[in-house]
Amino acid sequence: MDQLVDLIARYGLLFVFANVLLEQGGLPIPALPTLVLAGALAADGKLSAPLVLAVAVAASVIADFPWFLAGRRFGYRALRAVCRVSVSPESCVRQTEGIFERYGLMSLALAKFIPGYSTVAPPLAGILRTPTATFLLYNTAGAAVWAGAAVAGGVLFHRQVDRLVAAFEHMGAWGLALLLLGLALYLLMRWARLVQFQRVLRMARISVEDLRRLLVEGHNPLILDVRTNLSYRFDPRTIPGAIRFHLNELDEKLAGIPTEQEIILYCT
Amino acid sequence: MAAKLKEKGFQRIRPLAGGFQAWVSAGFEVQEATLATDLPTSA
Repeated sequence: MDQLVDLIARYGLLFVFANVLLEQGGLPIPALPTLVLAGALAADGKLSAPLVLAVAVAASVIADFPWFLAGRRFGYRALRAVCRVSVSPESCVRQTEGIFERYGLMSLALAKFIPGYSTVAPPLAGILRTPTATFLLYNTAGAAVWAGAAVAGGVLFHRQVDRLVAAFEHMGAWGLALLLLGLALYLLMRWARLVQFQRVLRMARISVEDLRRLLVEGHNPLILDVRTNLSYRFDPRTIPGAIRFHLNELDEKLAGIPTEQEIILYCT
Repeated sequence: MAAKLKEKGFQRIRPLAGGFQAWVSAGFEVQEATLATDLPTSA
């Protein structure tokens, strides 16, 4: 355990860089504990806090920028690719757009604090043709606020962090095993949730061919267009007969519709 | 969204796989914009 801290102190910056890069790139490896630990080590004089911060911000921007470019080049397909890795395509695209619609560029600056949003915000900014310089400015600011908070937390609570590390050191190999077990459990939980979510979604969905067949055969399903205003303005056409619909209007729009009515929802 | 409708008692709800993009890429007919109807934004 002692060696582990030494290792982090020696290769700390590289470790922080790799960790942040992988997390922001979309892998489920939490970077926050590493940043807090690096902050605590900085308070003990083993690392330089400004350097840790600079490295974390650089890694974050390097991970985000290709997704921004992909968003600009491939449009919503890039967003779907990100969403497929993260959680669910449908809910993910909708929620992200909702956030962006409401808070605009400011949401980029705070993106790192919203779980799941930080990976989808860059391609979305690209889709919406945010100028590159503006994106870089807000994205860098966002990374700085996020990494800054974590490192500052580590500096502030370095005594507590040191005590925790000491406790793990005391446990020796068991301490290391406990850490690895914790990480394994975290990964398992993320994976289980992803699998479950995708299974539920896949079972329940209707394909475009099947919907088209329903329409042609005159089944008259109720089609609800639940796209956000943002993507609606992007392409104001609809599937024939669809009704624009928002969660707010749930009760008024559905009043008098029997519960056995077939309903098809679509978003972007 | 689909979950909210289920709560309200509707049983036959299916989200469209691939969304509007998939419908357009399949080349199926669309309805041109009629009235620009933005929806209330607050959730």
